[in-house]
Amino acid sequence: MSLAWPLALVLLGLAGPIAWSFLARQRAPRAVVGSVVLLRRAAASASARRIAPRVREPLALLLTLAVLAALALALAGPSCQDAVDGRLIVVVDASASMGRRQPDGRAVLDAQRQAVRDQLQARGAQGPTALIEAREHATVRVGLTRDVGAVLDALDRISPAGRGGGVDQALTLAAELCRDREHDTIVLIGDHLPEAPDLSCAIARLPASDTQDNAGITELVVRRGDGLGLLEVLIGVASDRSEVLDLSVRVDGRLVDTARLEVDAGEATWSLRRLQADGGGVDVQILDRADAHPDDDRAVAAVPERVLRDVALVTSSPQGFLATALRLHPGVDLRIVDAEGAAALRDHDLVVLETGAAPPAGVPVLTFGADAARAAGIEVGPSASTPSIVRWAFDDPRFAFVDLDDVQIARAVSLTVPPGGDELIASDIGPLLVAGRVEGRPVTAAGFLPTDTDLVLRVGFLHLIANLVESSAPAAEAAAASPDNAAGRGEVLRSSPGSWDDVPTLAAAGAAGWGWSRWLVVVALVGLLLELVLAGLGKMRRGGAR
Amino acid sequence: MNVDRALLARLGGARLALPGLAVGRQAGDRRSPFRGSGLEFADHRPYRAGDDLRLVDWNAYQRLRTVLVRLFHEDRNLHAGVCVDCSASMAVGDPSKADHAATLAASLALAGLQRRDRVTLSLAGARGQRTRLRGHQVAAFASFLVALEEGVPAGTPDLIRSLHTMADQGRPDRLVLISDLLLESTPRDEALRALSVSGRQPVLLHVLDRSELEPDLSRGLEAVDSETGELVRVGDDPASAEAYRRTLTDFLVQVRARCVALRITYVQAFTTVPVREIVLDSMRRGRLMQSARGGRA
Repeated sequence: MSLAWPLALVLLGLAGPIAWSFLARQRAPRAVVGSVVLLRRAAASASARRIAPRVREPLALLLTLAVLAALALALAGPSCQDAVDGRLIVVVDASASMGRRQPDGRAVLDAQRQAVRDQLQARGAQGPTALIEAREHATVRVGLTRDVGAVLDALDRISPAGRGGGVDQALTLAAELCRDREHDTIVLIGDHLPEAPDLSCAIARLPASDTQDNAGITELVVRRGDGLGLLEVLIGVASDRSEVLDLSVRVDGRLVDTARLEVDAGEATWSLRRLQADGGGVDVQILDRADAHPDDDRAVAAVPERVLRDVALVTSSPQGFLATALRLHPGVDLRIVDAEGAAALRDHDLVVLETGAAPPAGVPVLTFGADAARAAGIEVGPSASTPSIVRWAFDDPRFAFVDLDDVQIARAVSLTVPPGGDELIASDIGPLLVAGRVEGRPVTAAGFLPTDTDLVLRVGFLHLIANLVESSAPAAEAAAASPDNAAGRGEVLRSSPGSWDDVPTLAAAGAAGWGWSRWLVVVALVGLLLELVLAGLGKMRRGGAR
Repeated sequence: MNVDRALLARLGGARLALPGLAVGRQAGDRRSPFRGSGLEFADHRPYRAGDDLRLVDWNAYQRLRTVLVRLFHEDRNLHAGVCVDCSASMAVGDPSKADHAATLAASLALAGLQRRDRVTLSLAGARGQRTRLRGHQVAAFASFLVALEEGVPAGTPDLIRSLHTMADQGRPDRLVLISDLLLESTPRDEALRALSVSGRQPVLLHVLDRSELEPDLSRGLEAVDSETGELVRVGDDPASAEAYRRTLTDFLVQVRARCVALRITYVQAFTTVPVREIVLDSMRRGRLMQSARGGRA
């Protein structure tokens, strides 16, 4: 509401006619009378007692005008900020968490938006207003303008969705739009309040109303655990209270797993689930939990697409363990050639050498045995029988689901680590598995043939081959897909005002303005009372005179 | 000035009342202090040479053996003087006080002339061809009407001089002054004194307008004196209205008290009261008008 409000204009417009009628009334009519003998005597008699009545009429006019002005100003709802024509920058956190339901059924954003609407309408066109929307990033929806209608329209169009996190950026933008702390104000609509920033103008926030308890999925990350179709699903949940949450995990609509997580109030809990699935989407949902914000009870993430690699195997044993392992790899398009055919290999993603044959230039190479290593440019040491593995990089992704303890190796040669390369398996005779760049291409070389070990009898062999293929010829696509949570990542649960306790709420900030209005109303009422008293005194005098 | 002629048509049975004796010069139907030829026996006196023998009371001679002559009350006509204040102050009001006074004067003149009373009319301060007329027959009434209707109230008349002038040829039995008497206290008192001494039975018809009795002071007033042009500002406050009411009351009380002291018959003839009611009621109760046939006129 403002002075442009119709009723306020009408009240102010009444001041003119009232003043005119008063002045017109004050101008006594002139008339020709028979004789002024009586009138002169009466005027002389009354003049001695006319001091009070002389000031009564102007006083009544002033009181009437003061009442009108006070009422008009009270209706317009002026505030301190309005009086100095300050800027008002409204920052709206439009993340999905703002859609939480309050006990009255309204969403948090709707309730706070209505409060800001009232303030903006009361403020009117007094000073420019800007609107900044904060989701994952901040966006200036309406620049500084005196068109309150445009701001209100833009404010109405904002709906809670997606992630948050852009409030800091939005506040920084808002601070750029402020001129000084005394006149300008930033109003923040949101439940996720960052650390109190050091801004150049005053901030008012809307008080966060109480909402129902809420539990939500804060994290959902899906990645391929190996090259064999294993998915690793990281689920993060949190709740406003300590409880046990049951979750269902579906892949392509099929229920593949359930989880029961104990959650502490306000603390996030994570769970890593490994699933066997091949593509599609992972759908995680909290079961049997009615809360303030249903949108964050479910999260969906896509499984990274499998990439088919063109792998050539140069071997003299097409039906050997290594060829079988590669053939079993669902992400490998295998071509097996002998040593003579190796020269014709072109444009493969990976060349696996089990015999000594020169690999094509520039192609990643994975070698097994001394001859193959030598062909790939790795220096080979002396051959030894039953070397013992003394150290291996068990935390390297290439050894995921692989256990080399107690692995027996019948024969092996030690290898020289390429410059800048890694020693992955160390034995008492020297490095048995090295990786590095040789002649400008990545080379991973093993100093033993698979058939010279008992590894081929273990399930870990398949994993090792798959891991080495993945490592030697990594997929162009990232391993992990981005989680897609309708509620945004964890925003729903961060409703604590944090260190903003000293930041006044918008209602408190506007209290000064409404205090003016209240005073104006009091002035108007006092004026009306005085008017009535004056009128009563006048009637009493007239009545007594009769 | 305008005269309500319709009212005059209803005054055929009215005559001027006179509580005392008439001293008119001409014979009339009113008892006079003079003895002469009349119908009502008054007294005897001894016969003197030259007396009309028809007046000798032979019955008294037979009983007393003295020649006595019967004396009768001589009936004379009434000499009425009507002085109308035609000052500019009489021009205010709707109808104006002057019109009101003219109708009253015409009524009095008609009532007198149609009973052969001698009527003198003086329009004090009027602008007109004739401001002073005399008549003793109803035929003269036409000229009275013309003079009244042609008279224009203007200026500041000398009421005292006008009243004294009317007594030049003998004090009228009835001298009626029709005026608002809105004068300062001294000239007002002098005017009343002049009225008192200029007529044997003086009467004051006090004419005031509604605007003077109940002026509208709700918005105040800038009053301009019609005679002097003096400007007086009166406030719209209750104190001013109250002061005026008190001043008016004092004024009326003083005028009435002064009339009583000077033996002047005081009759209120405010314009708020119709002329007919004044003539037929107020004047009758003031013993200024009576019915020629007795009872109500």
